[in-house]
Amino acid sequence: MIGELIKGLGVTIKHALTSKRVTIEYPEQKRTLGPRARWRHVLLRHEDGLERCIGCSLCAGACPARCILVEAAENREGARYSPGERYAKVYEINMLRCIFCGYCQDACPVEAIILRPIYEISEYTRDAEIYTKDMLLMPYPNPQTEDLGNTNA
Amino acid sequence: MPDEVTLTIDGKQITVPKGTLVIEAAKKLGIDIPVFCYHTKLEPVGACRQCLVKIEGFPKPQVSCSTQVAEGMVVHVNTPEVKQMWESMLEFLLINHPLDCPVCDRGGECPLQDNTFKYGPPDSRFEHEKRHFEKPVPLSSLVLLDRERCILCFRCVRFQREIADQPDIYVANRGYGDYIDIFPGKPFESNFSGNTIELCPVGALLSSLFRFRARPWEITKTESICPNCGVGCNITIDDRRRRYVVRFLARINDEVNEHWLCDRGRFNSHTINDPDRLVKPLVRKNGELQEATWEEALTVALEGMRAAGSHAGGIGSPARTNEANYLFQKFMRQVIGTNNVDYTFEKRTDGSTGALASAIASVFFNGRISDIAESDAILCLGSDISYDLPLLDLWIKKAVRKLGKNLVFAYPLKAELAKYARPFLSYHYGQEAEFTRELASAVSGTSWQPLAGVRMEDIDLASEVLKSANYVTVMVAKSMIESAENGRDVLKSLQWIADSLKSRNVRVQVMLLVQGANTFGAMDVGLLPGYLPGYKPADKGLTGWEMLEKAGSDISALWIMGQNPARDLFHTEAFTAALQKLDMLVVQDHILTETARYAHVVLPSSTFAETEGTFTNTERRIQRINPAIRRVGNSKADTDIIIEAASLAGADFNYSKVEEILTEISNTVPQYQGVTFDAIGPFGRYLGDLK
Amino acid sequence: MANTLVTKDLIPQTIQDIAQKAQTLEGKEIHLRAEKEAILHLCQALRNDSGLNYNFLSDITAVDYYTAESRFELVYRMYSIPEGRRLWIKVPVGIDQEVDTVTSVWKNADWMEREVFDMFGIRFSGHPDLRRILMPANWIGHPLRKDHPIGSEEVQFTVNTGDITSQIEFLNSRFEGMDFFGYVERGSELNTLYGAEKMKKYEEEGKIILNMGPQHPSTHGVLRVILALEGETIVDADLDIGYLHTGIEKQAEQLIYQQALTLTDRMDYVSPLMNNLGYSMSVEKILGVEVPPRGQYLRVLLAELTRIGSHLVWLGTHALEIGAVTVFLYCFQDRELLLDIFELLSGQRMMTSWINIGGLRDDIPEGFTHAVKNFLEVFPPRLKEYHTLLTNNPIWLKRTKGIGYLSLEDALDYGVSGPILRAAGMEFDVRKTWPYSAYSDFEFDIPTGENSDVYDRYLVRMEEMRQSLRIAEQALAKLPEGDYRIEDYKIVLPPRQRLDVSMESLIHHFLVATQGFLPPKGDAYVSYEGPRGETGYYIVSDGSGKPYRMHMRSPSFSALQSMPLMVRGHYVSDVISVLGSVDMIMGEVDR
Repeated sequence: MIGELIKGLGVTIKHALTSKRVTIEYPEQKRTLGPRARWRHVLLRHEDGLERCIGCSLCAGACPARCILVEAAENREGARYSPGERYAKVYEINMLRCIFCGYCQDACPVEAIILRPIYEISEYTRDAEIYTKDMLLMPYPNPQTEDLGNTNA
Repeated sequence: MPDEVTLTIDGKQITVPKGTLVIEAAKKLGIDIPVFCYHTKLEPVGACRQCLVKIEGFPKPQVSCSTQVAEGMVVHVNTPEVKQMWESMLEFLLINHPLDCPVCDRGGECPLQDNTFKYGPPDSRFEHEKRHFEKPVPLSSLVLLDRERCILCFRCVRFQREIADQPDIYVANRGYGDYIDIFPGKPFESNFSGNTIELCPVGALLSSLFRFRARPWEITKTESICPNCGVGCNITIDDRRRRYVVRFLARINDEVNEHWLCDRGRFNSHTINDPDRLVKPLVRKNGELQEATWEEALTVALEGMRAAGSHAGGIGSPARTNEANYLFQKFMRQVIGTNNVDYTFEKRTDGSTGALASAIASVFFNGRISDIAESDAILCLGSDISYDLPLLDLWIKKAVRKLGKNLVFAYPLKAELAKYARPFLSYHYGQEAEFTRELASAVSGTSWQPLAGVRMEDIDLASEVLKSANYVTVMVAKSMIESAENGRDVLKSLQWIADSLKSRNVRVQVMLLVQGANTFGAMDVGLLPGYLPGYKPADKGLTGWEMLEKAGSDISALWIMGQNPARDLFHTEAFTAALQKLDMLVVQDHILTETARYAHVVLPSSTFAETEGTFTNTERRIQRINPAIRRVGNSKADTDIIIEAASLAGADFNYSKVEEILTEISNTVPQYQGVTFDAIGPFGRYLGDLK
Repeated sequence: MANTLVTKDLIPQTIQDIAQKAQTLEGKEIHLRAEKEAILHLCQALRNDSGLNYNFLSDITAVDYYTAESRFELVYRMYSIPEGRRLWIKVPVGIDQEVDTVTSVWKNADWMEREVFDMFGIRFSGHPDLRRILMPANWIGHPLRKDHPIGSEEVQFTVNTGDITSQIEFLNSRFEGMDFFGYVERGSELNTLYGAEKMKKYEEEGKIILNMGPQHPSTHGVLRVILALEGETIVDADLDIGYLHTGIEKQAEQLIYQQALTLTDRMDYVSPLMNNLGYSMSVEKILGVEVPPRGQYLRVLLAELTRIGSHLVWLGTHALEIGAVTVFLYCFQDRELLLDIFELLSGQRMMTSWINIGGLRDDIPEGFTHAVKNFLEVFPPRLKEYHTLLTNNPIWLKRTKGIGYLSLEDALDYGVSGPILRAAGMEFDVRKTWPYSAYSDFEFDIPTGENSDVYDRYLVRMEEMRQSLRIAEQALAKLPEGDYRIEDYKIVLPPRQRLDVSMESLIHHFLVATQGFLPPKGDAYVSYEGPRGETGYYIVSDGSGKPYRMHMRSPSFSALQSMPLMVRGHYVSDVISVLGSVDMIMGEVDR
């Protein structure tokens, strides 16, 4: 009986003394997420600065949580936001409802919306978790997409 | 049976009337065949070739939309060969189709998409340049055309030509270079242009009002009735998130509006969420209208109205529901204690109301819209139908142009329908009574004198046309009866015409043409001075016109629901002056109308898209409206406003549901016996059928 | 035989037919339709009298065919274990009609019929305890009926934030008779303290009624156990479930098939990929498509890794609750490797939604094989360490040996499958009996136990982990080249590069993404061996893009029902051990 207990203790003591600590001391240390990690959404732009999003609303249609709101409008002379006829005048995502499934990313026909490994998205109020278009749209000139949310960048 | 044909489709036998198209026979068996150019209401053209099927005995495949059934015909639909044909046909159509789905309004409710998904190829073999057009091109301020998306089914052109008879669009160029165009300098002005948008199977013809506003998965649909004219076309209200109405679509009702709507009704959807909608009650304090609570506003209104007592008046509306109008007259009579109630402020001649009331009560008006196409002759008196009741214009055009029936059209001016009439009787305005007497005399064979400005030959021709028919529809405008110097006489002449024809074994139906969506309903539920609900006699009261005339003298307070006399075409100054003489003016409406600007209390009411209720249309069909969106701002339904006002006054208007009001109406108004929401159903019922 | 309704008189004939077919291929899966008057006798005949030995009731569920002549259809599914013959009986039931209970044939039917009653309102005459099981006791209406509204809070955007009073009004107006504000306050008085009637009787007899849960650190989820104690010894127990019921099955009817897949992750939430697999297999059966070999192998690999992950959670929490805290930390440390693999593959650690209808959502990325190989090397020694820590540890043995005995007969009676059934001595595993998804290409053993106690279940699961490693190694080594999914664009999304040039592909992408693919009408159920036992999704398709009915057959639901038998005569602290050995996940029990 004691023998078994000692064998067990042997395992735990061996680990305690010799094993590498596996704890990542967040926030001083941060784990690198896989490249496919699905967290915060970003609306991308083209090279010339025009928004990729054409307001087609397929993302809203594919979303299982119905957390995307899109209102489309027409590009006009002097007020062109995207290539083509149509752009998203209103684009909101309720991040509390989002299940980060990535279906919006799959559904988008023009690769406008992507989910990046930006996971530090906690807020103190519910209202702050409703992301509007200005919060989602990437700034221009664009940083490299791969750098968005790369915790090692 | 001699008029029937038996054929076999996919091994199943079916017997159908002679002349049935193969595609319709297949539909009866539940066999679905994809189509683009084919439409049940348009003549088949076989333009798109999508509906190809194999018929034994024919070496080549046949288009099922243009082939009539034959005895013993054997048709094959669900075979690999036919499926391959369908797939290839779709591939052809998609060769030049632009990759617009994400930006096209039709996406998600598009027959081209749906047919491609069901029957078409999953990937493309086409690697060349597609044809290009400038896009989109506005054909009018309401309709846009994207020529790249057009698959040349010609439904739009065919509709305008065959049904609306307003061929404002045509097919330009020829062969591979076909495109749809308007004539130089002439935009697409037809007042039925909106129907081409719904007919178009792709996103080529688009509504500029609806452009980019919603995707099908963002839309909720509600069945309702258009409130703009007496036809009461069945519509579907499309809204987003139960808050914003984005468009109206036609709802198919083969007895009222078939598949169509007029532009006036269809393109009015944006008014419901207009930023000018009243969202809070207003009360005049220190000369200015200021926001107030409902309790405050209703209290002030009640004080003013009750102080006037029998010197108060209430004017309801022919565009509000039966329930609202019923409660309104009940409130005015029982709570405020006045006999001055009316549904309009327009001048009506003495006696015409009484004559109309007894005619309605004796079911003189039994005309049904769908029977217009059944009759051999149509007599239309005193109405520019194409303007007042546009869908009836389509019914008449169908009868005359498609079915070869006769139209006798009587109107002081040369209206659009005059060109279809044989004869067109242009009587003098103001001589309605004389004219109808002449006509009645001619029809009955009595001698007569031409007095009203119409030639003898024309009256003779008219009388011949009517007498030689088997079934005559008589349509008479209510305004003709009410503006004639002696409206009673007009009705008498009509009675005479009907009786004379019936004595010759001609079947007759008489339809009263009313302009409001619920004019009949307003009268039926007693919103008439001197008549209780159901045309029972009541104590005499002033008409709306008289109330305004006597404002400041006999009338010191008015409650106006859904009317805007201050904007009347002919009497603005007089009415405006009258309104300012009132001690209390309560206006219950959707926006701050010109009349409301003079009010002491303004009550925001919810529109038809936010409430439940019923309308009775020009053929005395009762139809239901349903709420599509939540009430805008702090507005309330008309019925709720009146119920609240009544309970503040201590009266017992105890209705927890709108249907309870309808139950009371059905118990009080003999013509509405048997009316319940369920009995009315989604497509309405003739009042006569429900008893 | 499939379409004629079996009536009482036809039972002998039916039994004969089935017996004749029993050894043939056709006899492996039989579908019957029966009259509700005949169901009890038919079931008795099938289980007891005929030698056909349909001894395992897998599921009783119902479907509301709203416009059909007979509104509901009850679906019974039973197996003969271990031969593996399957039989379905569908019984049309009209509204306000009653059906005889089959609890006398299989004890399992108790909770299942309670659930059907709760969700559909079908009453079972003769049922020992017909009351609601998932919904609160005072709920009005039957949620899975098609005319029962689905309530929800409106999704908040900037246009409607803070609009909460109108939400409450909206909910109250939809659910007549309910008062959502009031209910929250009144809820506590309405909670039934005693659970089943029998508990009240125990109290009258002088036993102590002790309530464990739903807030309890060791009841393994939100579970409420009501114990009747004689001193310290447990006389009987009753379970109150439904605290985690979130209406997933009803929600699935509102979403298209791919969207409903995301709901399945959340049913058995420690093995999400297996749920995806089961659901996808059922839908693929309705569609009539077969996933290519590479996809099949990857599915097997991911399923087995998921199984290991789930067993690590089981081991860690079980040991933690008994007192071995270190094991918990070690298990979760190993699970991190697995979660990292899943994150590398899909982008999410847990709710991956990666096994999709038609195959997988995407092929394995670079580094995946390396990560899996690394895990396969690192883990076996760790597994040995767990054995060293626990298997012969005297404290462990005292807490688990001889505790929680469930006889084989009772286990079958209660529809218990998975490690618990195997620990009772029955060698039954869906992967061997009804191989799915290329499992027949793999070599592995099924561990069994003899004593059917907590200790044996522990050993069985530990060995299962080792076997899963074996399968994973084989899958990785023999991974074929080729497609990882079917390439039918009427079911899966076309590749991105086609969207710029192909009109047809754009159309298909548009429709598959929003309206979903359109399967033919029909229904299907494909079982798979989840970490907890025989699991599967029963899906009914009406030809539209949304599932008409989605029901999950949950093994923990049945296993939990047998739990009172396991704790009779033990002490309160043994309840913890037993619950740990049952390894239920409330997400799949309550849905």
